[in-house]
Amino acid sequence: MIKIALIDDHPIITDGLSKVFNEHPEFDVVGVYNSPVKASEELPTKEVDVILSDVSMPEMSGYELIQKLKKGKTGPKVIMLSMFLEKSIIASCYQMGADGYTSKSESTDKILATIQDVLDGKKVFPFPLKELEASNKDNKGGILSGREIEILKLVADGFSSKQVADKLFLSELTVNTHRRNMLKKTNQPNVAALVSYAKQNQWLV
Amino acid sequence: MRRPFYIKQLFSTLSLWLLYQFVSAYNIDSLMTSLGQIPFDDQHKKIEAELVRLRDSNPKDGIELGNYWINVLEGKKETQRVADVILIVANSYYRTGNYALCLQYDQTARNLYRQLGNERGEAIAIRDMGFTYRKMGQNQDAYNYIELSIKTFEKIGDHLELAASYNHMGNLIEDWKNDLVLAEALYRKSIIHAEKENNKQSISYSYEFIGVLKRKQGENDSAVIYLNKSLEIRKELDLKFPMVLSYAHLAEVMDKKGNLIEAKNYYNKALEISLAINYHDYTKFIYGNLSKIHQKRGNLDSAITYLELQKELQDSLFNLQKTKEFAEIKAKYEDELKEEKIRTLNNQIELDEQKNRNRIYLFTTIIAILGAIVLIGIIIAIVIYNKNQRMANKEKINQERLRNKMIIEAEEKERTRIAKDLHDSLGQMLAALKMNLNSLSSANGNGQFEKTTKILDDTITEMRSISHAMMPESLIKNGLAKALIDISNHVDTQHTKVNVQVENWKGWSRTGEYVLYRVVQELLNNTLKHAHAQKVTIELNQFDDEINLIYEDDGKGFNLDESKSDGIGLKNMINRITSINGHIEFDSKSGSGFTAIISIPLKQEKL
Repeated sequence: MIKIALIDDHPIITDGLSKVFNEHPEFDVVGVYNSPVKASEELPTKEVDVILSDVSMPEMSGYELIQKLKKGKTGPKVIMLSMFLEKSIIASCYQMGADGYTSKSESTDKILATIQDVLDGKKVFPFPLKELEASNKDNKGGILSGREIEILKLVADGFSSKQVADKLFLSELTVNTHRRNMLKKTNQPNVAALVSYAKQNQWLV
Repeated sequence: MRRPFYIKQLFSTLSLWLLYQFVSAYNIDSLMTSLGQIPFDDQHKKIEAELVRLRDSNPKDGIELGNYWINVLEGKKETQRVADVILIVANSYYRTGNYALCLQYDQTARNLYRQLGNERGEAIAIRDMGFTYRKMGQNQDAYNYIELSIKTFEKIGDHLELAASYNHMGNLIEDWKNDLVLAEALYRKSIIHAEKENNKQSISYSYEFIGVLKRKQGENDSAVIYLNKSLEIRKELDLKFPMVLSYAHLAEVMDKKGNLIEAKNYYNKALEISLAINYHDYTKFIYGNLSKIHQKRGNLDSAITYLELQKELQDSLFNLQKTKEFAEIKAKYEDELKEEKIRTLNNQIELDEQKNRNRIYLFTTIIAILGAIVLIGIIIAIVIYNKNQRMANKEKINQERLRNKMIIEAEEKERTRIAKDLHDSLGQMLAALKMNLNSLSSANGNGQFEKTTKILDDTITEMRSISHAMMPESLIKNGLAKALIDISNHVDTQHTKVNVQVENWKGWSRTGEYVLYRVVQELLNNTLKHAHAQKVTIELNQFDDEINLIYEDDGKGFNLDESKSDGIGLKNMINRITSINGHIEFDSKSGSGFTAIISIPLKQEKL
């Protein structure tokens, strides 16, 4: 028997899900919560194998709830169930420690399969895990964009903003904005310093 | 044209009045009244004589009368006479101890004489300057000036002045170089020149100087002879002050010789005259010496009496000194004004024609000033008007911006509400519907179940799409940077790749992020609809002082001038960015892609 708990602020969803699991005898629904706060208080004291939870709820965000439910590797598996399919939201859930993510609009079979996979120790998400890991990482400073490096190479070759602009079919304003941004990103006082800084970092190769 | 002349007249009246204020101490009015009827040349001669008299007896009054007369002569353009009088007044200043003004007057006289080509006058002024320098202890200067004057006098053969100059030079050499032999030779040279003009006064001085010199050399008998010679002449000419000097020197020689009675007699004679002419300093000196003589003779009562007299005079002189100090402060101020007067005088003589030019200049200046005042007034009025206008404009723009912002905020709020409703109510119901549908087995196998499921799936997808377009959940939950990454994932198609690069994003105001998001959304729409671009790059940067976003596609671009900006929503974007105090620029040419640059300065008013 798989002990399962359901969390969603919409009773219509928890009712629907309950009905689905009741039709499958291998599942035992041990708790149904329409309040994430109540769920976060009661669930840690219960023996639960897997928790299905909504992401977007008024009392507590899904992210926070995941953190409260996942205490270490031995706790229950947590699968997020949502209408949203945006990568950043899914990535956040993954990074908070969720074991799976699936859409509420998926077929029942798909949902059941996801639960099974998660219980087998897999992480189940609609995007490759590597992308999710990378997705929400804060960008480190000092990284120039492709356009910026293109411009900086020409500047290093001695072209003026006007000449660079003509070569790249850009306006001078665009070129100057890029130049300004490069100085600010790398915290260099002037273009000469920027060029030597970029050469040191082998950006211009 | 009248105004400047009135002003000029006012000034000259004022200066004349001031001048009268200065001279009121000495009764010039009564003097002038008494001279009123005689011809001007005679008037001048009399006043010049009076000035010489006052110079020797009462130099202060001499200065007052002199300055008054300078003013009168200047009015009559009597430059030669002006210079003569200035020279006398310079001498009067010398007697009052005001050497600085004395030099200044001498210099003025020297300049006037030079202009007039009067070498003699110039040389006199130069010699007087030398004399003053000597008094000031600047011996080398004194020597140079006196020597210069001697050269000039010898050139023009003026024995009278040569006599005076040699005497001065003798005094200088005697005091400065202590060369008594050379000094005596100079005095004798002076006598030779004086005799040629029979100037006895000058000779009397030379004799006196030689007498004193002899006494210094210890030749007392010789000293007495020369001093007596000088005394004889002075008695003959009734030169009072010089007589005092002769008597006093004689007394000193007698004292040295031990002839105390003779010494006392000479001192008494000197005292008699000195008292008569109120020569206090010398009187004091004589009292002191008389006291010493009486002391030497053992006549202590008299000695004490003279000491008491000396002290009494000292005290009265002290009081006099106090009064004088006040007077001197006043005089100093007056002198400065007179100095100014002299300078003006110089200029007037040198540049007489300048006067007329000055009048025109004054008139022009006044007109120019009036013009400038009117102009400044107009400018100020325009500036104030412009400023008000600018402020009104600024206020108007501000209000518009604020209204835009409020509209945008209301719009975003409404969008959020609709998105939430769609998602929370409709979405959840649809999801539940799907679950329920799933639990139904496909009872009747004619494909109706699968069809219904497909329609429901499409409905859910459509709902999600509308909700996302209304207000993406990721923007609310995760902020702009992540929402942009999501949008890029969403848009990424086989034809167009979207690359988002975010630098240093720390989050910003909700409205600000919404606006930027909306603008990027519109830019992407344009790119996807019209540009046939292969690549879109979005750079979002947050710095301490600025947020900027650079959107670039490599599509077919368009000429900005030709584009109907409203058609592709550029105007709308500009309005949105302006509402958050930002600035947006578009950069595109037909055939070479499209770039939009948005920059929002930070540290301004909070949104």
